[in-house]
Amino acid sequence: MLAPEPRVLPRGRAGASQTPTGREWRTRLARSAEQDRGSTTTKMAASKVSKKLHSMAIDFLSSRRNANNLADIIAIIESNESNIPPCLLALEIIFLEVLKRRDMFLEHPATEISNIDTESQYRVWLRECFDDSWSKILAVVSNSPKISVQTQALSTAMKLIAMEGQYPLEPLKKEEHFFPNNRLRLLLVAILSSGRNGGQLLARLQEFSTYPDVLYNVWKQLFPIAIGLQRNGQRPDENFIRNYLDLIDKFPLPKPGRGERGQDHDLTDNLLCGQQGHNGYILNMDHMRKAVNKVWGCVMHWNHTPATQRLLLVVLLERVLPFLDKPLLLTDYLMDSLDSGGAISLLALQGIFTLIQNHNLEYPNIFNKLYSMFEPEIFHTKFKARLFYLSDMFLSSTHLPENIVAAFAKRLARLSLVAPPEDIHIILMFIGNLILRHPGLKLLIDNPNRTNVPDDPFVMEERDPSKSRAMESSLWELHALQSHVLPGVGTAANFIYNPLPSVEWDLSQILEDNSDDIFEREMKKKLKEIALTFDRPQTLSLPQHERVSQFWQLV
Amino acid sequence: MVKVKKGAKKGSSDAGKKKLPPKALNPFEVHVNRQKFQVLGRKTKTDRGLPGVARAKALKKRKATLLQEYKLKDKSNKFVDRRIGERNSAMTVEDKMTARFTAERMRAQTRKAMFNLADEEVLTHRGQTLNEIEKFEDPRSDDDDDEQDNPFQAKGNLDAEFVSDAHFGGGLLSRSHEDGAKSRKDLIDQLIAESKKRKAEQQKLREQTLDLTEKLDTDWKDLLPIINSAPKAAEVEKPKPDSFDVLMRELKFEARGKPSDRLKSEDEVAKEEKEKLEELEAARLRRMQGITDSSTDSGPKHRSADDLDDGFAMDTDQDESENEESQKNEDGGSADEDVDESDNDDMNSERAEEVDDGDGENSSESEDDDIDDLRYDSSDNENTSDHEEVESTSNIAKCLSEPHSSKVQTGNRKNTAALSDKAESIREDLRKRKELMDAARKELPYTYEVPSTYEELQIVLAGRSPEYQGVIVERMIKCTHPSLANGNKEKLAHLFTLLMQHLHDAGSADANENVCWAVLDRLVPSLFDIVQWCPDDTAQCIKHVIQEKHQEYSKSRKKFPGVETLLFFKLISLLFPTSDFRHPVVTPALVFMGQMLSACRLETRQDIAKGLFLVSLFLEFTALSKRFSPESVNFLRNVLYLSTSLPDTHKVTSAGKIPVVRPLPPVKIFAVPRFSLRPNFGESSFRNYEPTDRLCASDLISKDPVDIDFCMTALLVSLRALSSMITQLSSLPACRHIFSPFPPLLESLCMEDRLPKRIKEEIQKAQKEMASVRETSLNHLVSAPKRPKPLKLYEPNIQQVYADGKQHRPISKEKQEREKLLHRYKREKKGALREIRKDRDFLAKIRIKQQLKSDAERREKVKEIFGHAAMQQGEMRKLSKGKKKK
Repeated sequence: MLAPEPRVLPRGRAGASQTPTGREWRTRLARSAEQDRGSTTTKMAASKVSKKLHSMAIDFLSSRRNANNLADIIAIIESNESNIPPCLLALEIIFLEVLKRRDMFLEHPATEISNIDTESQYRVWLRECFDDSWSKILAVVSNSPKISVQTQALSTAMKLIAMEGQYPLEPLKKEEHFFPNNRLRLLLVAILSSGRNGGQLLARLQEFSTYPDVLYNVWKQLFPIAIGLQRNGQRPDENFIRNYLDLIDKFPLPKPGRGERGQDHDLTDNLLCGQQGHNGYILNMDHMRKAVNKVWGCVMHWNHTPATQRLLLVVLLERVLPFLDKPLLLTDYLMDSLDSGGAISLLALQGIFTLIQNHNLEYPNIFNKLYSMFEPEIFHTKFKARLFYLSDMFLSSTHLPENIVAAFAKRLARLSLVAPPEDIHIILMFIGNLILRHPGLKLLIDNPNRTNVPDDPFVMEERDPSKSRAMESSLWELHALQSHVLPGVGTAANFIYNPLPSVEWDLSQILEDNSDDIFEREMKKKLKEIALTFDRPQTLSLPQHERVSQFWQLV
Repeated sequence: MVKVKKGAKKGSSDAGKKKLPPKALNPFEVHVNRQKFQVLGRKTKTDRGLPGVARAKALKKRKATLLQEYKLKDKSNKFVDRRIGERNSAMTVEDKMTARFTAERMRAQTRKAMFNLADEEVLTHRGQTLNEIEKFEDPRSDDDDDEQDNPFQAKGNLDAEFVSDAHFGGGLLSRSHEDGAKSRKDLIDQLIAESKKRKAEQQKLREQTLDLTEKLDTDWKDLLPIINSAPKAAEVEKPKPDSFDVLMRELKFEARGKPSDRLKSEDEVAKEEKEKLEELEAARLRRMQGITDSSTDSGPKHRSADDLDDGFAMDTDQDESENEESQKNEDGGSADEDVDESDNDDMNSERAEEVDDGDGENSSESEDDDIDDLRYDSSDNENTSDHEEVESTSNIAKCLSEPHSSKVQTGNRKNTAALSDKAESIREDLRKRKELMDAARKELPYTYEVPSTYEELQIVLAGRSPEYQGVIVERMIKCTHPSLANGNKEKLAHLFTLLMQHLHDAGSADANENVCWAVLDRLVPSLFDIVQWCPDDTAQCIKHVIQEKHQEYSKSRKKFPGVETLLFFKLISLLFPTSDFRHPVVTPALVFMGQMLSACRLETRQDIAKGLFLVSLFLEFTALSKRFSPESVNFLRNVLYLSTSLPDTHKVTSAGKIPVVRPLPPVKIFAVPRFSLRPNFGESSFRNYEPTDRLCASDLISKDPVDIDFCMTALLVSLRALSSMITQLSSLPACRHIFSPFPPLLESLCMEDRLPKRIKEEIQKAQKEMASVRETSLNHLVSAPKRPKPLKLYEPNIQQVYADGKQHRPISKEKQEREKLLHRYKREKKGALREIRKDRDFLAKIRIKQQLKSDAERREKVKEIFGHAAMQQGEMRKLSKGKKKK
């Protein structure tokens, strides 16, 4: 038999499992016993159980006379919640070793076996046991209430998959790469249907995404899973969708464009299930692309709640979009999302922007949409930086009509009156950049006519930027911001009175600022002397300009 | 002769090293660089060169270095000369020889030393090492002996006469002189005896002198004190100065009379006081302006030629009006006093005390007074002294205020009438407090040590009422006044931190509702004093407190922090000028307050109350500087939104009358709001309900659900805050934009008929304010006019020319340094390139020489071989010819 080659699995957890020594198992069992934080007595009992299970597993492996131990272990797994971890370990020990010895190896499918000798009977029985315990493990993954137990079951399952991939149960047909796809699919389904805990399980599973064969096969299985649901007539619930999208997010496809389109990556090393003798594994990018397109076609038609739709858009923009065959088909979907408001429309906007930029989409009303996104609520979403970044890109053209750009400037200025200080900074620089790009906008800060107007001609409620009459107005808001309470904002707003710089301000530095940064900065500022009041207060109220006691009866 | 010659040679060789020997100068080898201009006193190094010599030198050097390297090129092994001194050019041949010889010897030595055991033994004599003995440490020196006339005698030797007699001629010469003939043996015996005798004498003499010197020494020591003291006393016999001299000296050294300050009249004192205040106010205004100089619309001010830059015309309009206002307040107060003077003395005195305190806040005089009083108090333990002090100061104050007030009295009658109501109530309050304070003063001990730990402070303050605490801290401060001892300032700063902790604990303990505000109320004057004395430490302390609170807050951003945090904000407004453009303490506090207002959820009564408190603090912070904070405006908007009845607004909007005003986050639109401030009227009308004007401190901590009273009061307070905010910002052109969401809100509030009259009035007032803001027309923004370019001046452009012909541009030091380096780099690079080129030529020459040489050799060889061959040929031919012949 070929000697097992030691290979490194992520975090080295599975590495030791190839040839476990007695002491290692003991420590593992002790560790798993620690995971159950019960009273001392249950702990004692648990450790006793785990010891017993361990010895049973060792006995099983040592001679075939103890074959019934396996059945006992499988029976125990269902008996008690606290017995699951040691049982999992025992099963892991047994099957890893059995797979390595090829004890379950059959030349022909079990149904075709004509001569029933004891050896093949034993092998068939072993296979049944293996399938049985596999389903038990998956049940633990999807249903166990404890996340630690779930992750343990997951890692056991992955180890078994790896081992089976190395030592297949049946003879291979050609020089093909074998991966136990059935088991992987079942495992994925178990994870996806595990409800809220799915995120953590997926995070654990993500460690395997570095193996190209795992990545490929996961993508290959995603579509059958989605289709399988539809065939059964089930509608995926919110948690399932979230987990599904999360899975897509965590198994990113290799970036295209490193070579030619659809180039296959030749990856011989670093496989989870690399058999001896097969040294050519090729990641077929065309298959991957096909899988992505199919999967996405399915996912788009599920029923989405706003939360999952947001997630969907994020995944779409960051992972999937470059791999789609016909991204322009997304336009309608993105248009619809654009109208739903808030973060979703923002993300949709970004998608449309990508389409415009890379795929020649023409969209006439895009500036109106962008204009309508600037609402006071935008400052309290976490996609604020994205919005500013995007609109900076949109408005970067110098060929835009001036009245539209002026409308943006004016609207932003209005918003700055209700914005928190860090956003005022961004807005001020944004407006400054607009004025720099479009010198005609200088009229907003320097109107040579010096006329009086009874009221601001700008119409805030107008949805169409070109009809908002912004060019007839002035940026009085910036003048007001000069007397903002915070000195930083005040000085930043001073730019309207100073000659404009020749280079635009760099927005990217301040996009991620928050108010704590401002606080820290102000805390660090040191002035030479600290000014003090000169009126000695006799009581709580100031000698002059007291305001608090006008509204408060404090003493 | 020989020596002279050597010296001359040496000298000449020295000179030769410095200068080129004149004989070596071959005029055909010298190259002269012609100077364009002769400059006197300039020394040039490069006026003449010796190209041939230089080339030869360079060639020699190349031969020594480059050629060697070339020869060793592509060779893997090499010879290293390890002979001693072979590479050291400083060593002469002799040095090398000696060095090699010593090395040889050393090697031999070390080889032997392995077996030579005795080498390291130390030789001794009588237990002392020889080294020690050879130090010749004999205390008695032989100098004494040497000084004697005859050195030979001294050492017991024979004297010269005898020796000359005895030695020369064997004593035969002397024999003729001496009559008694003595045999030679006798002579020698005599000689020996005499010698011995002399030695003995010598010995004796030496011992005697030794004894004597020792005795003399001891005697001298005994005498020493007498000698030192006695003659001085004897010497100081001086003539007595006469009275004239004394007088003159006295006059000479008398301290010169200094011109003392004239006693100031009351007018002058008041004027000075006023000037001081004005100066401080001007400084504050300057700080408030910050760096907004460029933002003035008016452009550059006209300045006449007579402008002396004395800041004469610096008062702006606003400034003036403010001054007037403050003056009015003051005057109003004093005028009141006059009116009420007759009916209560007590109050007068109290007022006077205030004036006194106000006066004396910085002048050391009054503080000294206080301390004197204190000393007096503590020594006598007299309880009434405090009263006396108060009375005495009150008299002074009365005198001070009288003329001043009488002047303004006529002008301000009307104002006083308006203010008198309020003043009355405040005074009533003050009087009560005063009584309490007096009681406290009487009961408490007079001296307090500043505690070093918080526990100690707690022991002193625990269980006392706020008034008592105030008095205790006041006395602590008086006992450790910075002018009393050196470390007092640090002590006070420490006390300040302890008091901060005390306030914090008072605020966070929710047992008693108002106690923390009362404590702050009483501690404020003391805290103010400490801050005046050590501003840096205390500001640091408060900054720390704010930072800590901010960290606490950032753990749960959606919740308002406790009352104690609000307490500190209020304290900041009392201690530091909040109008400054940027202040190290105030600005972070403002950021913090803004964060809370914009992030915290409004879900309970407490939240509303705390938010409104912050809004009023914002108003107070910006009252002078007229600044604007979006957070407080937003908060008011949210509060008003919560108080408007939601379904009603919807109804109205469906009629198309009032646009919907959406709340800002954190408040969200719900069909059924999670929390509402809308008073639940039920069936009854509240038109005649009288809501209280002000919110109460207990609202900040109460956990009760919102009741009607609170709703009304909160609504009223926010409306009042709104109108005062509008007036504060009315000068801004964008004021209408800032408050644009409010008119619809106010209108929808107006729709509610059952609101009390008082609230309706407030709503109308706010609406009126808004209307007046909207009435003013807007001026388009105009950036500051560009300064006209200065006229071209047709004066000659004079540039200085320096003797060295270089341009001296005015550049910074770093640039200069950089330029220098660049220049040097360029020169070095050129030089290096030239050297490389020459090296290449040299090597090429060598190569071609080698080539030529090898070619020549080959030719020689070929010739030789040809020669040989020809010879052989010849011989062959000869032979064959010979054969033929034969």
